This record gives sequence, C-alpha cells and structure tokens, in this order.
Amino acid sequence: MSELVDELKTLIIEVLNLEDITPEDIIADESLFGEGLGLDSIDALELGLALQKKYNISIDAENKETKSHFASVNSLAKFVSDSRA
Amino acid sequence: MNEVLFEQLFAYRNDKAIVSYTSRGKISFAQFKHDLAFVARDLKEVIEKRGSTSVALFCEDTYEFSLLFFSALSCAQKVIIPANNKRFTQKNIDEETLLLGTWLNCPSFRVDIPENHSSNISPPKSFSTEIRLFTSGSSGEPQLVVKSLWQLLAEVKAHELSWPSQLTGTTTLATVSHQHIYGLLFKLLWPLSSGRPFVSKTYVDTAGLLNDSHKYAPSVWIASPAQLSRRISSWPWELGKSLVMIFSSGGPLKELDAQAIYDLCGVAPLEIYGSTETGGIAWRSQMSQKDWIPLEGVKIVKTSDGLLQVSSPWLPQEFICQDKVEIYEGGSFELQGRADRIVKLEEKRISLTQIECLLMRGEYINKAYTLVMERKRKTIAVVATLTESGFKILKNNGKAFLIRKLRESLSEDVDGVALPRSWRFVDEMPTNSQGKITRDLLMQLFDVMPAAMVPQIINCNFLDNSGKVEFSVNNDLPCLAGHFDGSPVVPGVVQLDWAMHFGRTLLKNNSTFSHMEVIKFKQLMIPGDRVELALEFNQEKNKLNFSFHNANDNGTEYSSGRLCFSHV
Repeated sequence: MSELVDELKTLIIEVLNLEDITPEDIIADESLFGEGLGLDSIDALELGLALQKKYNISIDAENKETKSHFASVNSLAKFVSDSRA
Repeated sequence: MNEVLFEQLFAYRNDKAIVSYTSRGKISFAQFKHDLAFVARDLKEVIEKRGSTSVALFCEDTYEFSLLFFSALSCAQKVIIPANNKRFTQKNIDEETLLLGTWLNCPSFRVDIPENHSSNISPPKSFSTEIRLFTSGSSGEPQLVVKSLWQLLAEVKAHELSWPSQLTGTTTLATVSHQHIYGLLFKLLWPLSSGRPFVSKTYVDTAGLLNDSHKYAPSVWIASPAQLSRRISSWPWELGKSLVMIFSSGGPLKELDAQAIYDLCGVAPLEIYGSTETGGIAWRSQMSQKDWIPLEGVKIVKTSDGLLQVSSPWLPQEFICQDKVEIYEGGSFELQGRADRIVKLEEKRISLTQIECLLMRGEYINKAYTLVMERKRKTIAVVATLTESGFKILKNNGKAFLIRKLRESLSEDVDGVALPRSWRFVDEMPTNSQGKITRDLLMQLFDVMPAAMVPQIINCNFLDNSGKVEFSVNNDLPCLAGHFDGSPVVPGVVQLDWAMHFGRTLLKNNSTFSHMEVIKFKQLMIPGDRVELALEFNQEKNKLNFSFHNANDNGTEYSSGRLCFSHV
C-alpha cells in the first residue's frame, strides 16, 4: 500500500504539473482539495482521467462515494487498490 | 419593470408533458405547477413575515432551483444569483437578504414539498422582479449585472429562431451550472419556454452524460470547453450519436477539440460567444467557419480603440466589451484578445489585478506581478519580491511552505482555478533598458522546457562532470508534427535543445551560452529510436561536449558537438 501511496503522490505531481512540490511535501492523509494541497475542480477532472488511464479503473463521478475517495492520497490509494482487486 | 405572464413563459403543450427528470422521478407540467404554487405560497409568507425585499439563490439541483427562482420572481423585489456559495460570496450579501437553497453554515429557505400536498392552489400568474448576476470586474471586485426576465427571454427567443427544428422533442442535459447566465439561459429558460424537458442534475462526468443522452434520446448537451477538451476513448462515445446538438460556451473551444468531438459523436459543437453583461453575442461552428457570426438581432461595431461594441434586443443600451476585434465584410468577426487585465482560465473570468492586490495586501509580499502561462493547461504565474517576514519564512521553512501559505490566504477570496501555480521570488524585479518590467522578461524566469517537449527518459546517470541519458523518441513529441509529413524526424535544433536541457545540471552557475563548435549531424533520428545522450563538461574551458548515439544499433552516432559558455 505504501508503494501505491508514493506512486500516487508522484502521479499527482506529474499530471498536475505541480511546481516546487516533492512527494514528501504531500501528506498522505491531508485533504487534496480546498484546504491542504489546494487542488481545484479542473485538477479533479485531470486526476480522474489519469487514474482511469493508468490503472484502467472506472470512476463513477455520479456516485456520492467518489467524492470521499478523492479526499486524500490515502483514500485514493485504498480506492485504486480495491478497484483493481 | 415589465411583467412576464405565466403563459408567456412556459410552453408545455399539456399537463402530461414532461418538464424535468429529477431524483424524485419524472415531473409532469401538472406536477410542476403544483410544486411551484406550493413553494411560491410558502416563500411569500416568509418574505412578508421577515420584511425582506431581496433574496439570494444558490441551489445545485436545477429543478429545485427553478421552483425557488420563479417563486422569488413572483414575490421578491430582487433576486441575486451568485456564481457560488463560498464564504466570500456570502460575506458580500447583506444580512437583510433572505438566503434560498443551499448555503454553508447558514439558515436558508429550502424546497420542502410534502408527498401529497393539496392541489387547489394555483401557481403565480406573473413574474417581474430584477435579476442580479455577478461577474468579475476589471478592478477585481465582483461587478453587479442587473437583468430582467424579459431580457433573458428575448435572447432565448433569438436562439429558438436560429435553431428551431433541430431541437424539437429533445431533452436537455448539461455539464454546466444554471448559476451562470449561460446555464440559466440554455439549461433552464430555453427548455421551459419551448416546452422541452431538462435533466435536473448537472453532470460532473462526461461518461454519465453520454449514457443518459442515449436514455433520453434525442438529446442536447449544454457543455463548456473544460469538459469537451478532456476525453477518454473508453467512454461510451457511440451513445453520443443520440445527441442532436452540442453547445459550448464560457470560453473558446480549440479547433482540435471541436474536431475530436465531431469524430466521436458525429455532432459539431456549436459555440456561443457572450458575457454576463451582454448575454449572447455571436456563434460559430469551427468545422465550417472559424469567425464568429452575430446572433439574430445583434449589431456589432468596432470602436476607435479597436474594441467590440454590441447592441441587441436583450441589452438596454450599447455595450463596449473589453475584447479587441476585427470585423470582416459580411459581418463576421475575429476576437483578438482582451484589452484589460482580465483573463479567462477554464471558463472562469479572473482579474490579474485582483490577485496582485490581494498578494500585496498580505504580510509576505512587497511587489507582485502576475502573468498567464500556457503549459499543459493555462495557469497563473507570479513573480514577487518578498517582505522581511516573507523572506524569513522562505529561509526557515522553504519555498513549498511559503507558497502553500500564500495560496491558502488567496483561496479565501478567489476561485481555485485562479490560484497561482508557479512562483518566482526575486530580490529585484527584472527591468529592461527603459526601466520597464515586460512580460518577456518575467517569462524568462519561468523558462524551463515544458515536460511535453522532452523525450521519455528510460535511464539517466550523472557524475560531477559527465552524464548519460537514455531515452526513447516517443511519437507524440510536438517537434515531430509537420516535420516532415509522413516521415517525421527529430530536427537538429531540437537535439541541441535536448543536449542543453539535460546538460544544464553540469554547468557552472551564471553560465550563459556563447556559441557552438564542431556540430555534426550524421544520421536521422526517428520516432521509436532508443537513444543515448552522452554529456561531458570541461570545467576549464567552460564547454559542454555532447553526442547522441543509437542505444541498440551498434551505437551509430546521430549527432555531436560542443556548446560553449561564457561566465558572467
């Protein structure tokens, strides 16, 4: 799981072109959107696309739970690993 | 203000006609009238009891929004429609105003309809009330735009006249919100006033919309460039064939995206150009023409300053836009950028002046300049000089920490899209020989090669004065397009750029490029090649030797040479 967490941190930085941020700067249980890392709605779209491409999982944006999957890197890692299983 | 009668507004043929598909199921016109009568009666009571004259409405569900909207139009004096329900918006609404719909940490009037409410009350007979929308003004302060329902309906009528037959019998689905004028007109008012059903929710993902466009076929998609430009091929695009029309507004759609959507769904997106102040101005469909064509009834003139001046039946007087324009014979026109410091990112209007002011008002920044940078997406970049306390934070806690602090404080006042992504803190602002700060000078501070321009690295290994980089020439590199059609090769100048890009870490500080020596190009580098770049830096002479070899094929050399630097 911790491997996946690191992988996701790197993915977030690469996909979203985040400058001056290293994987260590991203706290795994900190919120990604709003306060915390401060990502915006377009980042959510981009990140969703990247996850679907990289892990070949489907994300149902209409599903209420999807929002909670995107809360932090940890929750995202759990979602990705559950979806792949 | 002119009144609009109930019959003039809703064009459903009979009581059984479907108005909306909601989470509660299908809503017939009869049901809609019942619901509206109920909500309007309740709201009127509350307004009379409180003595409020104005209301502010924010609600995610479009059907519920419509009930609150038309109820308010029948009994309040002002209806404010903010773009969001963020804290900053809430702060700008005075306490006298009654909040309708969903507001954070605040009591508000909500739609609450019992399952079987009595049906012997009738809906409001007429609607008048002033509608207040907001847009970001050039000063950065939200600017009020007042509209009447008449004006909005006049525009809807023009659209109806322009594309009538295609839309008959369609269901409207949207990925944009009705809290903005475009969504309000296209997702709600137009369907209602031509008797067509709409889907109540706002879709957040395109896949869901495509599925439903098939379910409710034939259908219409009210979209914006943000969604149309982000696509995955595994989405059910074949269902998009159920779409009769796709509208796009909020910002220009790239031609490439228009083409891709056409290839996937068989429908060419129809773009609408307009603004909150002016409403719709013109349309285009890039598959057939790139210039804008004024909407039915719209008259345009180029002012002596080169700006676009608009008059239309839905504008009380002429309006001069801050868009630069070139008008052609026949009346079509081309937009040539903004004249003020308002920029549009992801359909959101953002004032660069506002961001600079907010930054300079804070405790860490002395002077700030913002500019728009186009990399993978358009974002805002900042060049700033720091105050003493800002410098202290930078020194003690690092750049990432300082940036986070600055972004956090900005996020209270501006939309997430407007938060700067790239930051450069300098001791002094760079100026040219006339002492001016120019955009070019500032851009140089961000001048690193965008990731997309660099080939895919497989392996890389650097020592003190030498390095090896193994990479593959991926065929989506931008330098390959058109060079040459059908048989792409990596241009020599790009190879030099790569040598410079990867070699940069070996150079001494403050080195500037002076000239090149013994450059040789021996073999064509083509997509799919696996390449090794060898770099060697000569400290004494301040020269960087490079050579590109094929990593598989006996090490055949593509090119080699020497980049020479002077020290300043």
